[in-house]
Amino acid sequence: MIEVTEKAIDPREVMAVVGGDTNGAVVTFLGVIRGQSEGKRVIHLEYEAYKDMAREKLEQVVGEIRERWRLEDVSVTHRVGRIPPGEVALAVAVAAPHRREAFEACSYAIDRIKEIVPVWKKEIYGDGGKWVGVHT
Amino acid sequence: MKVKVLLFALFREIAGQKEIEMEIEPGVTVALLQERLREAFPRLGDYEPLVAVNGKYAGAQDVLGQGDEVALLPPFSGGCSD
Repeated sequence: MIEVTEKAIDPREVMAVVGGDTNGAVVTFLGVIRGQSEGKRVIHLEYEAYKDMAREKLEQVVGEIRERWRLEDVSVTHRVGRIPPGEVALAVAVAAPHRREAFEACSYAIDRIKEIVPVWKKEIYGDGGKWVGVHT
Repeated sequence: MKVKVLLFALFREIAGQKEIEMEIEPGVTVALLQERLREAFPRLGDYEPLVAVNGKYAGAQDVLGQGDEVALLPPFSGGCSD
């Protein structure tokens, strides 16, 4: 499952995709919004995506990990829109027969997502906001 | 001919709009279109965006065609916090 969605991510739905009985190891990663950033209280984050291209690039990431490691099921969900602290922005679940592949592939996928998927986030504070990763 | 320019995140805020239709003549390159956008929105000149044409990364010298969708992409910051 590969998805870019405005809806809240339910970790149980992500887990359901990787439940096959050939999966000896399932590694899941949930990227959760922090309530603090550089000493400021974060009210929420605004995520924005170039949706069609983002989905395509997520597919590319999944293709890359399937090429490098022997995996069974993979699930990647990126949430966009307004996300409050404590909620999940990114969920990656990787299932493999053995744990090493699952750990390595999951970690690689997260790094690549940050690198090549056209998604942006803005931290919103009580007194304004800031796009992350650009000087303004 | 016409192209559609998509602006995201900070660039959308600088331009005050997320989509601009622009009239161009044949032979206009990605670089020239960017120059015209910077004339219209000088603060865009502070950044060196990645450009995608019809969802694929494009080079500065690529020539645009009728109906192309040109996206200006600020540095990505998706996924979770570091």
